[in-house]
This record gives sequence, C-alpha cells and structure tokens, in this order.
Amino acid sequence: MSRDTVGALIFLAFSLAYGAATFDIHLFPGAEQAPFTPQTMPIALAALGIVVSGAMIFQSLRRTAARDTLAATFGGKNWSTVFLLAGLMVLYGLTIREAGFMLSTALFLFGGFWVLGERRWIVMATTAIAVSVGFWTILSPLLGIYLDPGIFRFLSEGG
Amino acid sequence: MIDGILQGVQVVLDPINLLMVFVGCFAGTFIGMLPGLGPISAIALMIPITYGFDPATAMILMAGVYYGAIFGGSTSSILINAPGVAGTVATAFDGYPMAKKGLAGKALAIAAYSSFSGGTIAAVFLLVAAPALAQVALSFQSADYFALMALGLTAVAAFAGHGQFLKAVMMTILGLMLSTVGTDKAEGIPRFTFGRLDLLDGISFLLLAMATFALSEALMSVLKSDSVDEAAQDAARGKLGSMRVSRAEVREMIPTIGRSSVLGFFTGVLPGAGATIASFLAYGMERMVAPKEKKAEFGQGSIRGLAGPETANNAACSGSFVPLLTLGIPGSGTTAVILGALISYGIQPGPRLFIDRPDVFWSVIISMYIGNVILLVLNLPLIPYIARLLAVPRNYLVPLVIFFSLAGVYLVTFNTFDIQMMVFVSIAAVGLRLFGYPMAPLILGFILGGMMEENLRRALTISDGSISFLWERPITFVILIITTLVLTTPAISALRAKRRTAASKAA
Repeated sequence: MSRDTVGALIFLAFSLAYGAATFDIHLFPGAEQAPFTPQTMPIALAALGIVVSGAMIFQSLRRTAARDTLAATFGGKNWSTVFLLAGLMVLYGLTIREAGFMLSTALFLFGGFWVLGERRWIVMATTAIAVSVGFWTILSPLLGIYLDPGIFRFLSEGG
Repeated sequence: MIDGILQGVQVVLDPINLLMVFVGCFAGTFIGMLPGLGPISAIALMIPITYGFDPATAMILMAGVYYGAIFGGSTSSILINAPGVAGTVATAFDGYPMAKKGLAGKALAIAAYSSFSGGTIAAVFLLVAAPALAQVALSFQSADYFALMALGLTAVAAFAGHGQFLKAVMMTILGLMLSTVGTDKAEGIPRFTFGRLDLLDGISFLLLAMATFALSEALMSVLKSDSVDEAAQDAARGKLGSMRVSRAEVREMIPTIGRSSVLGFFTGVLPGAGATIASFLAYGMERMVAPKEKKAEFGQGSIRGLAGPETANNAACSGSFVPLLTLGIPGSGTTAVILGALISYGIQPGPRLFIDRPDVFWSVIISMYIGNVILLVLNLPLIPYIARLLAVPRNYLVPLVIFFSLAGVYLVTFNTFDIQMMVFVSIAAVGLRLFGYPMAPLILGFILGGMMEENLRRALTISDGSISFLWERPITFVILIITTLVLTTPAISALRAKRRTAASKAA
C-alpha cells in the first residue's frame, strides 16, 4: 500500500473514532429539539472527515504514477535521536516544578546538546547554564513572572 | 478634524511621549519575539508602569507595544518557524523558507517594510474613516461573521500544491475537530476531554502552533540530518544574505502591499476578526491573484507570500482600534486589555471619546505614524544581528528552539500537562508531514473553528433553526458568493486548461 493510502486510512479511522466519541457528549434534557447543540458541529465534522478520507483513499488507489511507499517514507531516518529528544522533553516537563526552572532547563539543554552529538563538555555546560540563568533573569526579576525555584527553594528554606 | 490632527501631533511630539513611542516599540518587539509573551502579555505587563502617566502618554506606550509585539512575532516566525502570535503564523509560510535559503536578512527587511507600509496606510484610513467605519462594523451580525470565517477557510486552497487539495481539506477538518476539544461555550458541557481536567479549557493555540511549526520543524531537521538537502540547507542557513530589496522586487511588492493593507484594515475593524484572519485572507488572496509562474513560489520563499500577510496583520492592528476608540468595543483580545487600562485611567471609550478627550483619541492615531517609522528605523539596523541567530550550529540551535517553544507554552498556563501534550502533538505532526500533509490548514481550521461554531449557533438560534440566513442577509450572501467563486475558480480554470490542451492535441 502506498503512503497516501495508509495516510488516508489513518484519517478514516480517526474520523470514525471522533464520530463515535461525539455520542459521549451529554446533552441537557430537551436539547435534542434545539437547532444547534454541542453535538452538531462534531457530528458534521466527523461526517466530513469520513467523506474526505474516503475520497483520498479512492484518489490514491486510482493514481497510476509512481507512489511513495511506507518504507521509503519512514526508513533511513534518525528515529532514535528524535525519540531521545522526545524523551528529554517529557523529562523536562516532569522535572520543571520539582527541580525548578533553572536546573531543569540547564539539564534539558545539556542533554539535548549531547543527544545531537556535541561532546565539548565545557561549551555545552557553559551554554546551558548561561541560557537558563539568562532566561530566568529576564522572566523573573525583570518581568516579574514567577518561576518555580524547585530545589533552590529547599536550600533557601533550610538556610 | 484638522484641529484634532494638529492637537494629536502636538501631544505626540512632546519629548516624553516621543520617548514612550520609542520605548513601546522596542519593548514590544523584544517581548513579541518570545513565544508565550505576545502583545496581550506585553501590554498587560506595561499597565502597572503606566498608572502614573497621563492617559494619552499611557495609550501611546501601549499602542507602540502592540505593533512592536506583532513585528517581534514576525521575527521569530521567519527565523525559527516559531510564530508566537496568531497573526504571524502566515508570515512563517514563506518567511521561514526564505531564511532557510540564506535570505534571512531580505526576509526580515521585507517584513519590516511591509509592516511599516501596512501600519502607515491603515493609520491614514483610521484618521479619515474611523467614525464611519465603526457604524459598518456594528452592522455585521453572526451570520455575516460565519460567512467571513467560511471565506477565511477558503485560504486552505492556497496551501494546496498540485494534487494536494484533499490533503489540505483533511487537515482543515482536523483543525476544526481539535477546536471542539474542551468545554462548549454556550452550554458548558465538556467535549472530548476524556475526564481530564487539563482539557476543560481546550487546546491552546500557542501549544498547537509551537508543536506543529517550531517543534516539528526542529525534529524533522534531526530526522533527516544525514541527507544532502539538509547539509545544503545548513550551509545556507547561517548566511544573512543581502538586505537590499531590488527595484523589481519592490515593484512586485507594491500591489501586494496595497491590496493587503485594505484587506487587513477592514478585517481588523470587525470585532473578533483581527490580525489572524486578516493575514490568512491576505495570503490566500495573493496566491489567488498571482500569475501562474509566481504561484509556484508560494510556500518556497515567495516575496508576495511574505509581504501580503505581514502588511495585513499590521493593518489589522490599526483597524482593531476603530471599534475601541469609536464605540468602546474591543476588536481583539489585545484591545480588550487596552480597554481595561483606559477605564482604570478614568476614561470611558465610546462615541464621546473624540469629543470629551480629543487629546487621547488623536494622539493614539498620530502615534501610529510615528511608531511605524520608529519600528522601521529601530529594526532595520538590528536585522543583521537578529539574523545571526541562524548561524548557531544545529547541535545547539535545535535544543534551544525546543526549549524556547516548551518554555513559551509553559509560561502561559504553568501546567506541565501542556508540555507532555506538545511532545505528543509534535511527534504526530512529524508523522503527518512525512505522510505529506501540510500543517498550515490545521492551524487555520483550529483558529477559525471556535468562532465559526459560535457564530453559526447564534445565527441558527436567531433564525429559529432555518438556514435561510445564508441568503436573506445581503452581506452574508455576497461573502458566500465570493467564497464559492474562490473555491471553484481554480477547479474550473484547470478543467478549461485541460479541455484546451485536449482540443489542441486533437487539432
């Protein structure tokens, strides 16, 4: 199957799932008679999605010109690096409150530089610390936006 | 009116007020470049500072911050494909490809000239037609807004390359679907939240824009980093290129600027429409009227594709002041914050503003001229330094862009769920891009979805469930005719071209 056919099938499945989920939207008693309810737009969109994805499947199957395959589209790429970066982003989200903005940002940047192949430790550390401290300075003292101090809060409370 | 203009000039040329224009533009540009801190946040940050000022001075400062922030948002759109402000999303479509080709300096210069032109032309309209336009704005009802949103969606045709129209439509539908997530505004019923409290407010625009543009672009560059194309782009990226815009390019830009200023201003006048829809409409319009050889350049670094939305979004900013100053109705979220500030100074905006406080009314309008000049003078020399950002090696640039995007979204809600959501959306966006689906229609559908549903609901409620409002109101009918023409003209032209080719072959 070509890339376009698989893509269209994914959208068809998504539209069907979206359509099924619209029936979980609760309506107030008597709302069934209203011309427009919270379900109206989602049902219309689900129907449109099914029609358009059906048309895309039809178009992709009719196409006789050379088509991209899934292997050609997804193969030979740096998926491991991408997923490592995604993992770092998830970790950043989990630690930004507990570790604090500055520390979690510095660690995220350091990790990101390392994942992308940088190995000059001093440059990496200096850049990561400079950016995180710089942003904290602009956002917190200068613009008055509160940022989680994280572990530095415990240090100052203990002191 | 002449007396008013002279009074406005006198107020603005006061050294303190001139300084405020300068400070506003500078601060606005800087803050606008940071995603998550758009014009609304920038102005909200200024309000406490302005409490000690004269109201005219305070308004001048806030107006300067507003269009400075719009210009700053364009800078991050062009350089790193990270549109922090909804009105600058369309700028990224051709601004970022231009920067990738090593023409970052020219792209920023075109954005600066277009913003200046759009803002200045719109300020002229504002000066001449503000009270009359306010009455026109009032005559727009829900049915007309719905039709206008439908017209805005036709800009999707502009993002469809050859044979990609259905993919663009599907992405628009996906954007509309994503806009339904959250609490239904009319009845307060949760939709597609799956029991999660974090989704009750829906998906934020900034999250979607950052994830589908900046983050997915950063991840795509990592994904394909071994390819020859990427190496060539890396080599080109760090080059600033000449900032000079040639005579031929200026001649190409002039009609675009003219059309987009008018479109942007009149769209900005409509409360709730604003810079976002103005920029998308301008992009779609420019692509539609461009000659065949120029159409192919759209999405690849087209000058018209950059100048059009840039002009329109600044013109719309000026336009959004019309309902604020003349009727006391805020035309956008930003002008709503400005309205709050005006009330806190003891000034009631409305039809009597230009009678009771002509100094405030006219000085805001005149300050727009001066502000636009200062923006141009301030930013053009800074372009070579700002564009150097692209020369940062990819190993450092990619994590920095990712941090910028994540932090920008986190700073709005301080909700770590948003960060996890961004990771998910960006991976999905990478997958969609590999499948050949364009991202721009997704954003377009998302932005317009909520407004369309609200206006359609109101229009149907007013007409008792009958769809006759589509043809009974002249404004609605005309806009829908234009929408139909915009959608069908390319298909009809393609069909006629096919028939001509077949006929000439047969001959």
